[in-house]
Amino acid sequence: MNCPDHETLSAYFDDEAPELRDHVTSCGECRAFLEDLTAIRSAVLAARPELRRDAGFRERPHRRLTPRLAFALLLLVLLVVPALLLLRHREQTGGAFGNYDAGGRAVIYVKGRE
Amino acid sequence: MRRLAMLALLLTAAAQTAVSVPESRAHVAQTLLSLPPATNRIRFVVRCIEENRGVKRTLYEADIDGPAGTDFTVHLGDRGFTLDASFVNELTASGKLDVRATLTTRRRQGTSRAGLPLWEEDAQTHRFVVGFDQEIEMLPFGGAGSAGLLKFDIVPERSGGTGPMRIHINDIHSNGAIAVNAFHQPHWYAVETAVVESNSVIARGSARIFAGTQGSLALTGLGNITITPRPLEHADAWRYTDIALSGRMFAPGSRAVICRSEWQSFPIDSKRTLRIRVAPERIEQEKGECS
Repeated sequence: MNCPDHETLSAYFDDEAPELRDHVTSCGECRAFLEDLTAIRSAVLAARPELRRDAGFRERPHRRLTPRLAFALLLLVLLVVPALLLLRHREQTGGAFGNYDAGGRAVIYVKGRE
Repeated sequence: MRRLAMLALLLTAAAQTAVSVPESRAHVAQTLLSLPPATNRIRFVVRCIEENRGVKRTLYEADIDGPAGTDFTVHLGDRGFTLDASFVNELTASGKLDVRATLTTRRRQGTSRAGLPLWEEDAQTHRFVVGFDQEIEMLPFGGAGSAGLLKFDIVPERSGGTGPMRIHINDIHSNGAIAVNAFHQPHWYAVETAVVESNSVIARGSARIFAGTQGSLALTGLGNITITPRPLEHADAWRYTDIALSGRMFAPGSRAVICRSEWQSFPIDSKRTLRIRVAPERIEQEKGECS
């Protein structure tokens, strides 16, 4: 098997590519690269121990949008945004007689008495 | 109050006068003066009606009763739409009404990028003859909206009334959004012109012109001059008249405010002067205060 590139190995180092475990166990070259990474991390953590706190961040479960939540958000956007735009338009243009307004030109004429 | 008192003073000297300004809610507004005996008295019923699915509802009603020549205005407005209509009425020899109507509407169209209001404006003028078996219908919005049709019915009738002009307002449902004003103002102006050169009159002309319309006078050697007299809206309408002048010697649409019944001069060039006098017919003017 060909060795994975360094970026993929870096992902394995971060526990993001467990499928490489068999290869890394049997490949001295890759193991050496991982040992280098371990040494670098140890050195960095020794110099900046406060970074250790961030180690927990990776351990938090990933929050992913469920289809239901995504649908609810979409619905909210589709309903609320036009309503807000409509309200704004009415605020700017509407009035007490707004519901009588057909948008036409005023008309005047003479007709027989009803 | 001071303005009314001054108006009353002026109207006392007038042979054909009267003014009435309605306020909100039902009341009867009367003029301060007595009018000369009215031989041709007319009543106008102005009614604003909402029609929705066959059901009619009256929102506002004004009942005007005055001598022939009584004019009125109709205003309807909210923050998104305004209608200003004026009706100048004359009784014809055939016993019908010659009505000159102007309609100005403004409709709010939103806001500019600079945050300024944008309006769509429309102005119309109409002239029609209305019999006393007919009525005028005015649709401010041109047709029906989601709340129904809003319209004004204006019904003229012969009146047997006497006394000063009256207007009775019944604001039923408009909450002050509709207003009708009735008044009596001069309709015809006698316009005289003279061209003076070296203290000598070298040309004369005269015409009888209806308020707000363009009249033409021929001046020998100078060609035609057109004059449009109209009452002023923002000053003492009983003392001053706004005129628009056009002709070879003036820029088109030149405007001036002149004192009624007084000669006033407009320079044509270094030698000649055009003198104009505009006198409303049948209105006597107090003199001595124009400069």
